[in-house]
Amino acid sequence: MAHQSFKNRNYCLSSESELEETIDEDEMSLGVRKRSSFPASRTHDSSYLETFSIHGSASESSGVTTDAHFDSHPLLNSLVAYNVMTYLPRKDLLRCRLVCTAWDTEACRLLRKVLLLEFQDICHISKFKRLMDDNLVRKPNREVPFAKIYLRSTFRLGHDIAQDFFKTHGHFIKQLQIAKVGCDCGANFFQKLLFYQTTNITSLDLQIISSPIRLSPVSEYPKYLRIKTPKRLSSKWRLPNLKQLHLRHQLFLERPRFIDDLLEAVINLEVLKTDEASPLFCQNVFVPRVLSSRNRWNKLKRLLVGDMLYFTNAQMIKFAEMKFHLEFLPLNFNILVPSLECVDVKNLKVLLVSLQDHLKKLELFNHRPDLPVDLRTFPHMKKLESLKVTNIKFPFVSLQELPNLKLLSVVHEDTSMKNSIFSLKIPPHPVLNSVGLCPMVALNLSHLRDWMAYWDLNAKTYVNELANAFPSLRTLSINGNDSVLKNIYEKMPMLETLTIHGPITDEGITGISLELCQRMHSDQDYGLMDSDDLDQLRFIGDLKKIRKITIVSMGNRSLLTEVSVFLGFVCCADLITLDIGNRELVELWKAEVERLRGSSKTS
Amino acid sequence: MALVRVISSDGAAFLVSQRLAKRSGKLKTEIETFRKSSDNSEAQPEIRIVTIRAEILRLVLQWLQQHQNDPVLPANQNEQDGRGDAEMGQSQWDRDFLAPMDLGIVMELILAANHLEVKGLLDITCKLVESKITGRTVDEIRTAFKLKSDFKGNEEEQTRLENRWCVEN
Repeated sequence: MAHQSFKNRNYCLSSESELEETIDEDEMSLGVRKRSSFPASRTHDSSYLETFSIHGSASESSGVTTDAHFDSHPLLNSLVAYNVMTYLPRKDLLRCRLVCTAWDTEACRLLRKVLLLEFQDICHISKFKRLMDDNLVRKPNREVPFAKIYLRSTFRLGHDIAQDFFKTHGHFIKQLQIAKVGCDCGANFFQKLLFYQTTNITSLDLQIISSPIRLSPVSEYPKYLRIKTPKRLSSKWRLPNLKQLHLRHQLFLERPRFIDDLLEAVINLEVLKTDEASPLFCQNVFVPRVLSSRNRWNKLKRLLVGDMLYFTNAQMIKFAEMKFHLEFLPLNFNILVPSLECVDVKNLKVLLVSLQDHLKKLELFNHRPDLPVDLRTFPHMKKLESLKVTNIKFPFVSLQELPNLKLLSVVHEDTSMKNSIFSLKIPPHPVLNSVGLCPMVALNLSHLRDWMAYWDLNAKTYVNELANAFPSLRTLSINGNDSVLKNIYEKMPMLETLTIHGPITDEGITGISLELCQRMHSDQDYGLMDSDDLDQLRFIGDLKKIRKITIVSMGNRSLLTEVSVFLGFVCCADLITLDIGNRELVELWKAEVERLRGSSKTS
Repeated sequence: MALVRVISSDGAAFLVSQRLAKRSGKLKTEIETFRKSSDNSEAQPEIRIVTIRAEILRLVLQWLQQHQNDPVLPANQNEQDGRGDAEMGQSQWDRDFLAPMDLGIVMELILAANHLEVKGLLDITCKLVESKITGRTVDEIRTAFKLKSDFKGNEEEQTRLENRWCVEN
């Protein structure tokens, strides 16, 4: 076989020059074209692979090896199949089940994640039960794709057939969503169903119940209550596999004891979530309920009310003591509700420190820009990947403490712009030099809103510092003007997404002087500039990998004209989304790109 | 330039810069373990990959080299995110890179990318194979992948029945 010929040989590197040579050769031998947009300088000095002078192209040797490797490797088949199938839509997954048993198994594993069976009524479930009986009961170990079940509002849980189904087949269910169930069934039954029959359940969604489970007649209520006493909480009453619990927030208010019991039973919870509710609900009901639970959920990763969380100062301290291992914390404070207290930064820090080893994603939202929150320092968080702070003074020096941060967003909604323009005071510059090399991929620095006067003077150093501090930056959102933009072309050629807030004109996009742009615009003549001169200018097309551009003018009116489209945006080969606040120009851009594509095809 | 020696299953050794090697999750952990266990910090780590043969390893390294300046995609992204990235990552270079390969090589590349934890490569190779599955009939898939049906008795019929149930809903 071809690959055996280079067995036991070492390919070593002897000198720099030879290295580059062999690489080039190699690429040629494979017929691989170097991507034209790839900056040549990067390939050369940022170093590199080894020397490999294996000859022969991939297709040549592969012909020999394919069959042997393919069939003799059952592992290859199923592992490859699983990997590939993660990209397939549901319909094709179902078809894959029919190919062979190995594929069936893999497809089922995936389908269990994506397939949601909807039961509308008893008729449905009895048909389904028959299917399960035919198949599964005879072969209990066979994988089946049915793991998620959604009971629609028309479904009557109390019916005998339904009860029977959950008794015999409940253990198949991994995820259960229930809508408006229980018009005819009591909480007792519901509990039995959950606690006894569906012990394998990992996710329970009671969020969409619009009329809550009706409790059994009042006479039975004490029986239900007794379950709560510690004596009665044997392990049987636990749901050890339940990891996700979504609850409608009214359930907390209307069925507090039911919630209590449920929260007692879910010992390995990872996600606890309710739907959108008020901050008051969060403060008075949800958080106390979590804090008073006897379960010290040490696997809890997410805790959410809607998409936020609100704590009082005292609750922050208590929460910190519980030592949860939360991975995501979307904390809101200083919310504009009169009865809610303002946050004390000291307590906030205690909370952050308690979570510092686990947090991956942190969002801090100060709802009142007029109440300054200054963090001064940030605790060391080695796992933190995403950080969003709004209306908070963020200490840039602390980026050193966040070695894995990939996404940072610092936003100020405060409109103190006026002040600084009139006083022409230049605010102190964040010390980006001290940050060092960050793995940061996305950066949103809209806090620089009031730096209008600053840009003209310092655009170069500012962009330079950003580029040096965050060499792997791919997504950037900042405020700036034409001169900031021009520096971005030079310093950050690898950007993929760019959002810029500020008075961007044609000059910034095309690099051509504004005066000439205006003449082009009025004369409708875009050839006024010599093409050799054009090549010298830095313009938007220098961002070879740009895929998305958003430009927001400070006022609501876009300053751009069609000159930017013809001499700027159409040159960005990979551009997919363009948003410049002017629909006509975007349409023009789309039409122009289509036209260019058409003409390149015919030629 | 710190180097690392990566050895394929059939004994071919590749000298790779550590910076490049660390773009593979697997090699990164291996290098770190080596660093911890060896006293001499100057020593050149040697990593043996017993499941990947030289030809495939070379392709993986070549891909890594081309994409060395791309941001590293986290391997543990949830599925929806993963799908999005596959669309994003496909460049002209990638298409040219994959074009001359036959299915067997691509399959081995998937395994290698999976083993070495190179998310970007896994994405593009899987996308390629996926395009050979979507919209095809079962028989077409079997021919394309040289697979034989190994269902016993009425198992296939049963599965069809189950599927019908899923589609109806």
